[in-house]
Amino acid sequence: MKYRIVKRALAVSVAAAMTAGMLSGCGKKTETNEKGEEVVELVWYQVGDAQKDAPDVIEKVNEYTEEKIGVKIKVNNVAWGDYNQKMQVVINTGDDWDMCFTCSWANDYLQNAQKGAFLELDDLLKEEGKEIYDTIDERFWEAAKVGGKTYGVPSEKEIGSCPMWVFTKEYVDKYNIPYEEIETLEDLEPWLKVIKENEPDVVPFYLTKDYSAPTYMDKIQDPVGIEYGDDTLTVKNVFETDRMKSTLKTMRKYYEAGYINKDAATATDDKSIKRFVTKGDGQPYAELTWGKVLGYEVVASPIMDTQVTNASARGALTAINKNSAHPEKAMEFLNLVNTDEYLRNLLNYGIEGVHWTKAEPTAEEKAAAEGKDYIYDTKVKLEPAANKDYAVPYWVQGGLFNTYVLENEPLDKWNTFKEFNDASQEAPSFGFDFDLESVSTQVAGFRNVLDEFGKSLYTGSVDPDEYLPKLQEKLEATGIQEVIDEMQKQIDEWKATK
Amino acid sequence: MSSKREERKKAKMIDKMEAEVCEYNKVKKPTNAVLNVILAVMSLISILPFIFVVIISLTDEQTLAMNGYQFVPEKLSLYAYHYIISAGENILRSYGVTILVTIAGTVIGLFLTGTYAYALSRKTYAFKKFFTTVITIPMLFSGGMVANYLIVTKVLMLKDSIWALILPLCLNTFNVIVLRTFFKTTIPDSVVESAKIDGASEWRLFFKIVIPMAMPGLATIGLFLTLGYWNDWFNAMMYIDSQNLIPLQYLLIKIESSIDWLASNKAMMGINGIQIAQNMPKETIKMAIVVISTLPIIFAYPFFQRYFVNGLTIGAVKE
Repeated sequence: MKYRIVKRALAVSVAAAMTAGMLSGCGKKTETNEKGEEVVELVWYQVGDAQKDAPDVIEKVNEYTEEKIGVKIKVNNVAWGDYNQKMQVVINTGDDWDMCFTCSWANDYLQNAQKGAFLELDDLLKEEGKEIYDTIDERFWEAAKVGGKTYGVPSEKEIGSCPMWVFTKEYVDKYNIPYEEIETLEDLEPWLKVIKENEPDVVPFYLTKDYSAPTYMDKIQDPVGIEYGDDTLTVKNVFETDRMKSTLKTMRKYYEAGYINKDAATATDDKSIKRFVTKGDGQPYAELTWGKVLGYEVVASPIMDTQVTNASARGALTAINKNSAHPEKAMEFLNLVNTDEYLRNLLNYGIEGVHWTKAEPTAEEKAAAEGKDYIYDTKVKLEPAANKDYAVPYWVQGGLFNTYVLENEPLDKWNTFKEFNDASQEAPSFGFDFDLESVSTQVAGFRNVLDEFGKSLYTGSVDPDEYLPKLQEKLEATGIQEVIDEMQKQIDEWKATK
Repeated sequence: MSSKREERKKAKMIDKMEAEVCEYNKVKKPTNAVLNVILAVMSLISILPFIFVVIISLTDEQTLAMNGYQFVPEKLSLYAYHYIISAGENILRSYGVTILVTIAGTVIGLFLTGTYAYALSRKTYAFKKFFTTVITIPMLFSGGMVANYLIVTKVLMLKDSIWALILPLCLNTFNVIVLRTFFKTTIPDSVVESAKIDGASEWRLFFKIVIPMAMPGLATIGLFLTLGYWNDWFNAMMYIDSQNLIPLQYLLIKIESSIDWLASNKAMMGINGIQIAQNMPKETIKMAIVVISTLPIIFAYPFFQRYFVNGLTIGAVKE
């Protein structure tokens, strides 16, 4: 009898101890920095794999920011493939977070802003964020507006993505091809023929399943959108535009002539296949990256002028949680990241002396870059061994224009980017957000239809005369006309308020 | 004499009968050949991919890029395994996490499932109906991802803790019901009664009488749990933020899903996607991780197999 009582008492006390342990875990202790301000810890969700040396770097960051603005950060990295799902849960459950990465293609900016997950930053941008508000290109801020309010701090980088033809330099040199003059799909033809006739083991026009034919349209809701340069803002189905129709015909012609690899509609990029030209989505100096991946030199020429659309200008933003306890501190921190040279490069490249060292640019380079914007008097030499333990996607954390350039890059890289941005034209639809709620079922159906026909049509694998009507018929059946009408209605309203 | 002869006759007849029986049970030669071929093909289908994975993990990365996958690669290389052992500190740590979670989870899970199922299997248990209902509800309805996340992080405070990998998988309705049925059919009430009459307490009864008798059933559930824990990555994705608590399977899934995702968002990410993909582990390393994450489970199978065979014979002979 007694034994049993002792046992029960024991069980209760163990349970009590466990509960107490759990509770004590959530108590937050407050710290203060030397200035006597209270130090707050901000939780920051970023996309991208966690790096081995990240804790060391973040410790350095915290040392600096604690001193400067009384902020410590805790970075939670979520893998690329899991980011959407994880952030959905984190946001919907009201979990503890202060800042997160968001954009048009991951952790969707528009949707989250519309449903009120993010804090409106307009007031904060007048105070704590004034500096970044003034320095970052205003078109980024324009793109960040949803329903007239700003919900994210954009990372300043290339504002539009520029479709390009990517040529293998070896053949360009061999046949003296004036690649810079090649612009449209039709311009390629004579040279594809030359390669086909003279280089039997080279695929003249190498395409893979993610290829989409050059499109002269902002596909607001694929395949519905507004053509570039159409100031009347007429909503169209891309497959009904003359441009797309003729493009598909040309693709078919190339395919039948054997210029395109036969497995284009299903292929994934196989680097061992020799190719003459392929399509890439580029930016300034993109050919350096492509060349590095392929292992030989390539040259590129833009297919069309770069267009700025909502999707492209929302390439990377950082949003603040609507329920964050310290929104001012978060904004102060974001402001510092995007303006402070030391902090920005620390986050970007890691610790100086461990992950990278400073490299002196040559005198000529310095002289040539004289007077341009975004020039720093140092370059970065990565330590190859340590760098692989801290290799982060730069634009997830903040703008690129206040980072140092790498040793092998031109000193005026960011100036070129800025010029590229300035030269990019705004698509007529820039700034318009489509609210698809009333037509969401129709839109959901598009995906299947496009998956079924898109790849084979774009790559010329099937005859457009036969398959394009089939595609249209299916789109018709899913209710494309209702989507066009709805979008036209919304865009007319938007135009009236502009 | 005559009886001896009769006996011999009898024995002959029995032999003949047996031979006849054997003849009836015998599979005809051609049929046998066909069956063997079918079975051989099926086992090849299941074994070949794994052999292929092993071969790829041993292929030289350069050769892989040049020739694609081959059964007999041009050049072999131990680079991938070398990488895992030397540079892949994370991989080894994740290995440790997986092993710890699997062992702890299986032990805790077996204890909980066993006791729960045993209580339900006893006819004399007063709250049998109530607890059967309680355990059946989550089998039919699920709270969904958000509700789960809230419970684990807000109520149980398990965010970023190793318990978040162990506790959510411990008790499972299906396992409880399987085990309850097993207890009901293999443990006769009379055994329980006689133990009680001899003065055994409930705990002693459970550990000394019931568990040894129910070994095959427990081994089955143990295998389910082991496999469940070993292959689990979803909980890690949801609840774990620290790098040093990531189990092996999630490490693998992360690489896979990120590569897929980058490929499907190629147009949106442009040059950025290419740069990221470059930092991803290479094909051979992925395959090497698959190999080292599968091996222990392959060795666990024969161990449990013993009990399965036992379990089959026990179930076959009814009172």
